[in-house]
Amino acid sequence: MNISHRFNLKNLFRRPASAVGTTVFLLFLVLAIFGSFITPYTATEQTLSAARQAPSAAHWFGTDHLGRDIFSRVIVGTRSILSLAGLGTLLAVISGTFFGLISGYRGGWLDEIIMRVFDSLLAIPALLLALLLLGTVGPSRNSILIVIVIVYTPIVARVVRSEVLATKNRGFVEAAKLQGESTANILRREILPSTLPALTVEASLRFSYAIFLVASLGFLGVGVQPPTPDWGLMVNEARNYVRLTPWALFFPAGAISVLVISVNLMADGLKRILQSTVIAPAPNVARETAPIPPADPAPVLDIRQLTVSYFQGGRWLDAVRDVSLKMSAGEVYGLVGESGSGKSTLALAIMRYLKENGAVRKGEIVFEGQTLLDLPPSAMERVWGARVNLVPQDPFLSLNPSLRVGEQIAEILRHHRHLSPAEARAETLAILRSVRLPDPERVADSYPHQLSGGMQQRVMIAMAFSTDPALLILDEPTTALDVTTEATILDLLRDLMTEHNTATLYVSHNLGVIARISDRVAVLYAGELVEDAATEDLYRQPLHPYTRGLLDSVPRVGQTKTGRKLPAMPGSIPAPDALPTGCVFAPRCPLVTELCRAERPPLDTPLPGRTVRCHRWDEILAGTAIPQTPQPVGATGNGNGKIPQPEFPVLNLDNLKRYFPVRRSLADVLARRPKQWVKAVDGVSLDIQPGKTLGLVGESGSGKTTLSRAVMALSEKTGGEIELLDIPLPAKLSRRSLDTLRQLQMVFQSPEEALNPYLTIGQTLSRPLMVLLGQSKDEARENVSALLRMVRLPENFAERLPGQLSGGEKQRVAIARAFAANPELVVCDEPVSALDVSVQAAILNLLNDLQHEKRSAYLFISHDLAVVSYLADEIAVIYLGQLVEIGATEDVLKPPFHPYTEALLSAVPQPDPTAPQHTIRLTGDIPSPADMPRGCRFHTRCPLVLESLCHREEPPWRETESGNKIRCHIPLPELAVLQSGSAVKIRNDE
Amino acid sequence: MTKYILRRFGFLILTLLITSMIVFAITQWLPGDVARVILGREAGEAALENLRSELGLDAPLPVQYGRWAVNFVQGDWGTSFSTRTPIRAVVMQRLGNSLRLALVTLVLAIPLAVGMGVLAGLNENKWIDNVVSISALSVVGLPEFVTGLVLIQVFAATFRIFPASSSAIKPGMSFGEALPFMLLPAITATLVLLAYISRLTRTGVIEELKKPYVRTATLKGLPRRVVIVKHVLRNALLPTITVIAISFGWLIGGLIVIENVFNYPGLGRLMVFAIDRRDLPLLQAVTMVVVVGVVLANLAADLLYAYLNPRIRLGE
Ligand code: SF4
Ligand code: SF4
Repeated sequence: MNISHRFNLKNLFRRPASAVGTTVFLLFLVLAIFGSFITPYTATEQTLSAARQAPSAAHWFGTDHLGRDIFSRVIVGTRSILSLAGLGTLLAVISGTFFGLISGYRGGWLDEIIMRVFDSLLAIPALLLALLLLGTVGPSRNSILIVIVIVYTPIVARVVRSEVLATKNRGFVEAAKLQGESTANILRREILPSTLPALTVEASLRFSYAIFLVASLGFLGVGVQPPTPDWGLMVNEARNYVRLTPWALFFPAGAISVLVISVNLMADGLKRILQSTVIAPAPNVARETAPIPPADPAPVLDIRQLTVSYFQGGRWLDAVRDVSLKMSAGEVYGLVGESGSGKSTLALAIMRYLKENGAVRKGEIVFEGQTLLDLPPSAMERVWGARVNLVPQDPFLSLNPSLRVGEQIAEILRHHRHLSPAEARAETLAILRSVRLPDPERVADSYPHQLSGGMQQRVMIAMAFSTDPALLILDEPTTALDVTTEATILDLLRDLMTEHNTATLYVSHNLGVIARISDRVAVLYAGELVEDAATEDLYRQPLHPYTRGLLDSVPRVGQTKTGRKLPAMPGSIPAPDALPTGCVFAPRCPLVTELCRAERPPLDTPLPGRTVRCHRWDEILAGTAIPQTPQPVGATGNGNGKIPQPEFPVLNLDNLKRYFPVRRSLADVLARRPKQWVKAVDGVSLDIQPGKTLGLVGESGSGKTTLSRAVMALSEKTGGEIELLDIPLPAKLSRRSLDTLRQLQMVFQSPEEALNPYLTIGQTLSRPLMVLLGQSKDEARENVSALLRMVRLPENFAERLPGQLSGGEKQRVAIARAFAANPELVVCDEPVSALDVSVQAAILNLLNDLQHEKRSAYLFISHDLAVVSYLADEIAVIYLGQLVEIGATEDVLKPPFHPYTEALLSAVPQPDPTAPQHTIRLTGDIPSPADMPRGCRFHTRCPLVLESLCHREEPPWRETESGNKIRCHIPLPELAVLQSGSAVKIRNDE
Repeated sequence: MTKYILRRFGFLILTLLITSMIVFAITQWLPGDVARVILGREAGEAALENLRSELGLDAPLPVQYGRWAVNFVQGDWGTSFSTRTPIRAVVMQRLGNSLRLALVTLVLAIPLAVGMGVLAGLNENKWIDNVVSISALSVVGLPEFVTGLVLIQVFAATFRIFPASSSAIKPGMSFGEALPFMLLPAITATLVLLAYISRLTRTGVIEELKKPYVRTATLKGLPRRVVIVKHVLRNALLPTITVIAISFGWLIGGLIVIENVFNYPGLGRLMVFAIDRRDLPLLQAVTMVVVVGVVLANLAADLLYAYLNPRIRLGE
C-alpha cells in the first residue's frame, strides 16, 4: 500500500466517531485562536454586583462567586490549556524522538543508560512526578511546560526507539550504510519516515494526556495560577460553591471533558488510519451451485467449478476461478503455484476456513458424499480434525506456545476418539513414535519452543494423522525447513500416506518437492487451473506454456551458466484486480496469438486423464509450437570499463572469525568464569578471482550470512583478515574508505526490505551516484535512467515508489543500486530465495549478464545448491562456521564429496519424478554453535562417521587431483568408492 | 528461571537507585537553597548557616545523597518541616489508607475490565465491541475530578446513598468501618481503570485471535468454547498481567486527584499538603514510598508473567 496517501487527513472524516472528534477539536482550536475577539467580557474582570448569576442572555454560562463571566473565562481558558498542552507535547515529541533515535540507532551502553534512566522516570507516576517538580520549583507556565516534557519524553522515546529497532536492520538502511551515507542522513532519510505513523499516533495520545494533566494540575492548585482562567482551576474554585453556582462547575468541567474526548476520538481515528489492518468482512452472497452427477466410485473430494473471492475496496476479486478437482483415497495430489496463484486460498476454502472477507461465490465441494459448503459450523466441528486435517507452513506459529505438545495431540484423541486421559497419553506417545521422533516422552512434555523446526513439523504431522482422516491438506509443509530436514520429512510423509491410504492435497511452489511426492499434479496460475495430469506425464511433456516455462526456468543441480541462459519468463503474475481479459497467461506467453488475448481458452481434455487450458495445446502436443529458444549467454556486452586486473584475487579471506559473546550473568563475572563464545564463523579462508563467482552453500545456522555480514562490516569480525584487492580492510564500517565502499557492494535477500518505501526509485538510485561517485544532483538524475536500463526496467520507474513494484522489479532496483558505482565485488545474500520461480530465473540471468558486462566478482550465498551450481565458478560448502569443501563447481559436484556435500546434494528435490532417489539422509538437526561438537563438527550427523577418530580429532584438509579441497578423516580414494553412485550429471550441453 | 528472577531483581535495585537520585535531585538540588526555602526570605544569614549545618546541607551533594539514602533505607525518614513530627509514622498511616483504596479499586476494576475487554475482543467490530470501545474512549477522557464530582452530585447530593466526603476516616478505623467512605472514590478510580484495562485487554484478545495456532485449534474440530477458553485466553490474558501492573502506576496518579476530590486521607492528600507547605522531606518520603510501590508491583507482574509463560519459565 502506498503509505503517503494514508497520511491524507481527509480519512479522519470517514468514520463518524473520528469525524465528530476531529470537528470538535478544530472548533476548539478556532476558539483558542480567535476566542479573545468574541468574548463579551474580559476573563478576569470582577463585578461583585453581578456575582452568582445563573446563565442568561447577558451571561450565557452565568457568573461565578466573584461575578466573573464564565463564558468568557471558558473561552479564554481554551487558549491557555491548548497552548500549554500543545507546546508541551510538541517539545516532548521532539526531545523524545531525539533520544529514541539515538538510543535505538546507537544501541550499546548509551542505549542502556538512556533506557534505564527513562524506565526509572516511568516508575514515578506522571502526575506524581509533575507534582514533585512543581512542588519544588513552584508553579508557572514554564515549569508546567518543563514538566510535560520530562514526563512524556520517555514515553515518546520508547515508541520511537522500538520503531528504530524494527527499521535499522532492514535492507535499505544497511544499504545506505554501505553507500557511505552519514549517520545524520541515515536517521533523517531512511529511519525517521518509518517512525512517523507510530509517532503521529503517540503524539496525539500524548496531547490528550497533556490536556488531562494540565487540567488536573490546575484542579490541584499547582498548575496555572489565579487569576488566569484555567479550566481545572475554575472547577476547583467552583466546587466550594457548587450548591450556589452549579453552572460555574458544569461549564469548565464540560469543556474539559468534551475537549479530551474529542482529542481521544481523533487519536483513535489516526491510529486506525495509520496502524490498523482491519479488513471489512464479506457481505453475504448467494452461491451459484453446480449440479452434481453421481460418480462411481465416489471420490473422497470432488471440487466443482469453485470460484473463491475476496471482498476488497467494495468489490469482489476472484482469487480462485472455476477450479475443479477430484481426489480418490490414497491419492497424493500436488497443487503447484506461485504466490498469487490462489493455491492457499483453495486449500483454505476446502477447509472452510477463509478469511473474514473471503467467500465461495460459485461451485461445490463434495467431501465423502456431503456438500461441505452447506454444512452448518457445528457440523464442521465433526469434520475438522476427524475427517480432514491441515498441516500448515509454519509449525512454530501453528502450535500453541503455552500448552505442552503432548496435550495438544491428546486433546484431539479425547475429543474425536473418546479416549480416556490415560489412553490418550499412551496413544500420543505411540503417534509421536510413528513420526520418528526420538524420545517421544520428552517431546510430549515439551513446549513448542523447546523443539526444532523439523521436530515441530513432525508434531503437526503426527496431529494430522492421529485421527486417520480421509483427507489431508498440506500447505507448503516443508518450505520453512532446511533441505536436509525437508528430505527426511518428505520420506516420512510418503510412508505415512501409503500406510493410512489418505487422500492428500500437497500444496507447494516447489516443483522438485511435488515431483518427489505426488501422483497427480494440478498447476494453478492466477487463480485458474491451467493444467492437470499424472505427475510423470506432466513433467515429461507439459502441455501448457506456463507449466513448460516453469519447468524450464528452475535450475537443476549440475546445470551451469556456461551452457545456455536459463529460459526465463518475462513479467510477473497479474494481480487479481488486473487480470487480462482473454487467457490469463497471455501477457507472458511466448506462444500468444490474437485469439488468446480476446478469448479465454476452455478447459480441454487432450488425452485421457489430462486437462489443459490453452488454445494451442494441440500444436504443443504435436511439437509444432516450440516456445522461443533461449539465447546463449554473453551475446550482450563483453567486459567493458574495467582496467585489466593484476594477479591478486578481488577478495581474500584469511582465517576469518566472527564470534558472538554469550551474555554473562553477574554471577559468572564474579566467579571469573571464562567468557563463552558462539563461534558463528570460525576460521574461514577463501579467495575470489576477478570477474568470478564463488557460491557459498549451507543450511540455516551454518554461518553463511554472518560471514557475508562480516565481509561487509555490517557485523564486526572477531579475527582474521579480509583483503580487498590485496589491501586489508578494517573490521569497522566507519573506518572503511569511500573507495572501499564503492568497490564492495551488496544485494540483500528480501526485496520487500531492500528499498525505502518512502523514497522514489529515482531518489534511491541517485544516492550511491552522489555519495560514492561524487556526482551532482543533476548528473545523478540523468544516470539513474541508465541504471534502470541496465537492469531492464523502464525509465519512468524513477518516479515510482517501491509499493508500486513487484518483488522481481524491486530486486532489480536493488541490483541497480549495488552496481551503481561499478563495484569490484558484489555480495549477494540469497538474492532470489524470496522470489517466485518464474521470476527467479530472470534475476539470475540478469546477474549473469551484469557480471559479463561489468566484470564484477560475486560472493553468492544461498541454501539452494541448484541455484549456486548454476551461477558459481567455485563452490564453498560451510557447516557450523567452517568450510568443509571448496573447489571448482564441476569438481564439487562429483565424487569424492565431503559427506555433508553429498547429503546436501542428495536432499535437493529434483523437478523430475523419474530421477533416481538418493537415499543419503542426515539424522537430527544442525547442532547449536553455542554447543559445538568436538572433533569433526559434522560427526553428530555424518553417515560415514568413524567412531573414535571423528569424535576426537579435527579432520585434515585433503586435496583431490583436480584441486578440490575436502576436510574429512576418510582418505579421498575411499570416499570416492563409497560415493560412486551419487555423481550428478553436469548439464551444460542442452 | 532463577537467572531471570535475579536479573529482574537487579533491575529493581537499579531502578530504585536511579529514581531515588532523581527524587533527591529534584527536591534537594533543584530548589537551590533548601534552608532559605524553610526559613523564608527574611531569615538572617546566621540562622540560615545554622540550619544548613544542622541539616547537613554544607556537605557536598553526593555525600548528602548518600546520607539521605542510607537513612531512608534504615527507616529514618526525618522530621517534617511543617508539622515538626517524624515523617515515617504519618506516611505509613496514609500509605495504609491509600493501599486500602487501591485494593478496593482493583477488586472492582480488574474482573469487570478484563471481562469487558474479552467480550469486546471476541466480538471485534460487532455492536458489543463498539459500545465497549466508544464508552471506554469517552470515560478515559474524563479527568478523575470531573467523574468524581459528577458521582458526588448523583450519589451523594441527589440520592444520598454514599457520603460525599471521606474525611471521616480516622486512624485506627477497621476496614469494614472505612468501607462506606471508600466506595465513591473507588468507583471513580474504577471508571478510569476500566476504560484503560479493557481497551488493552481487547487489543490483546484481537491480536491473539489472529495467530495461526487458533486456526490449528479450530481445525482440530474442538468446540468454539474450548478453543477460546483453553487456547486463546490462556495466551491473551498473559499481557493483561503486565497491563494491570502498569495501571497500578496510573491508578496512583489518579488517586492523587481522587483523594483530593473526596478529601480522602491518603498519600495523595499528603502530597498536595506537602507541596502547599513546601515540606521537602515529606515530599521526598511520599514520592519514594509510591515509587517503591510501583516498582514492586512491576516486579510482581514480571515474575507472574514469567511463571505463567513457559517460554520464559523454561528459557535459559
Ligand atoms: S491460450 Fe494462448 S496465451 Fe494462453 S497459454 Fe495458450 S498459447 Fe499462451
Ligand atoms: S571427519 Fe568423520 S565425521 Fe567428519 S565428515 Fe569425515 S567421516 Fe564424517
